Amino acid sequence: MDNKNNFISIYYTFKKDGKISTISWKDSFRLFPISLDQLCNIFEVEGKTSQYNSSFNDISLFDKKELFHQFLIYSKQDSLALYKALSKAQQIYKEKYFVDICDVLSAPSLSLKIFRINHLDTKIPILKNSIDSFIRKSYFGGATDYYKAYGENLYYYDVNSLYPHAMLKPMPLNLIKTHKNLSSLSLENFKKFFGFVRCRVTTPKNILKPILPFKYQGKTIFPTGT
Amino acid sequence: MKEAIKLGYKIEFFEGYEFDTYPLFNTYVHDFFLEKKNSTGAKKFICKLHLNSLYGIMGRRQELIRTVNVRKDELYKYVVTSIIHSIISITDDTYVLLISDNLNTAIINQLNIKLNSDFKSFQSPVLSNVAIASAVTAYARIHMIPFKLNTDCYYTDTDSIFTKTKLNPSQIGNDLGLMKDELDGKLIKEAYFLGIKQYGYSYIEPLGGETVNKSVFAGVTRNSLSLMEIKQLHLGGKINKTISSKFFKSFTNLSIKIKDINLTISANREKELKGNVYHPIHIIQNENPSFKARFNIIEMLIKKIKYFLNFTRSL
Repeated sequence: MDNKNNFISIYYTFKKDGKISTISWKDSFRLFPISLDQLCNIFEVEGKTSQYNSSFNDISLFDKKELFHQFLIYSKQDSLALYKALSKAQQIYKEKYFVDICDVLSAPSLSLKIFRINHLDTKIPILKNSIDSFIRKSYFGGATDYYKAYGENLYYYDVNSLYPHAMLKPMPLNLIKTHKNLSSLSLENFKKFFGFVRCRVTTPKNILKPILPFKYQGKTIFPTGT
Repeated sequence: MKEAIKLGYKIEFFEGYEFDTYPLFNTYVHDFFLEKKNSTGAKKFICKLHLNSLYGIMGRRQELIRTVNVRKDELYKYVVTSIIHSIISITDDTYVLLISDNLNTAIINQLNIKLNSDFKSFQSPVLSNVAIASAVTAYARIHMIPFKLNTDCYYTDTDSIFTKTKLNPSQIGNDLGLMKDELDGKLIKEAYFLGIKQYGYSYIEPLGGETVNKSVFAGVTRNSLSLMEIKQLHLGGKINKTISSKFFKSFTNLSIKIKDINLTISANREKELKGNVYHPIHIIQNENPSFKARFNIIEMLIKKIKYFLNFTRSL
């Protein structure tokens, strides 16, 4: 399970004819976070033929013959559609990226596997606890902010693959120096510095669009001040 | 930060970690991006998925959750030696324990001194590196800075902007990092921005001439609020909405229920609006928050341990 008490996988081990076997259930939504209809559409397999009926979700289902019959039909075609889509996916991944989707539990871990097998040509160091928690304070997500309330005649733009674009920049790899005291660091030398610092920031007065994030009362904001 | 200094931010440095650099993801991104460009359907979907889901794993915490199924009489043994994240009862005699591994050893040591206890947190390193994840998201924010500052920007979210300024053709294109016009040349007729993930806008479809309303409001289905309703919220009003078909799972009686829920929504602006312009939140922070954080973690762990001890005793 994960830290939000959601199931990631379930294993059932049993003995049959003297042999030990395990059945495992995995959540395909963690791998492909889209609906089954979309998944079937993308992988070009026959999708759901009947829709989910919310009255299936009641224990009395087992006493209602007609409804139970519908439920069986629904369940079969639902499972079959998922199976067809996943089989096709498995084949593509094996041929193109040399990985088996059954070995992982989520899209990010599948990405990591593809990266490690096909692209990683150096060793990524694992950071010490203390350095991890120092740098983690700098880890913010995307910047979201609002500047004006009402607008007319506006344009709406978005960046093509912003994060992949960012990933092409030089990445920090090996820790080369720990600086316990940076109070005498000049701006000139800071320009050459690549890494993470703890510092006190004072914003200019009267700016309306601050650019540095700060965690304040559990929320990320872009404030002015010190 | 280098961008901030250009804008007149004043910085006082204390300490830091310096890194060398490496083009870690270049072949990964180039290969997938090229393939995404030249493919359709399943292959395109796969490329998109992996372009966006790698950096986040670098930011995953070292802390791990281990799941163990235990009987009631074994519970105590676990509760006094492991840091429990949660206990879920399955039957009267069986429980699922979620145990936190890879917790900071310094914190565990301090905790044991304080409680005179023998808590352990097993260590099995996870491949992650928050420096890399942090660099990726920071580069992404840096990339957005000129679009926010150099245009008459109304709202921005991660990779997008709403702006009055028409961008230069050189800033638009299909390549990585360039901008794309979300509305294909259409202009937004009217828009209201009430807060983070709280906005709505309308535009006119050039072919049919009908007005299209779009809205984003955290907690409410996308586009389910009309521009009139957004305007109402902007003016300080409240709106009641029914959200249909929310799933509610319960472990205690193993049921899943689908219920409709009623919501009252209102704009909760944190920034001050003067005229049509929002002013940033101003804060003055003097203390160093890092020492306090560690102290809080230990206090929080002790609370948790006591809670699970009491829980186990009460069974």
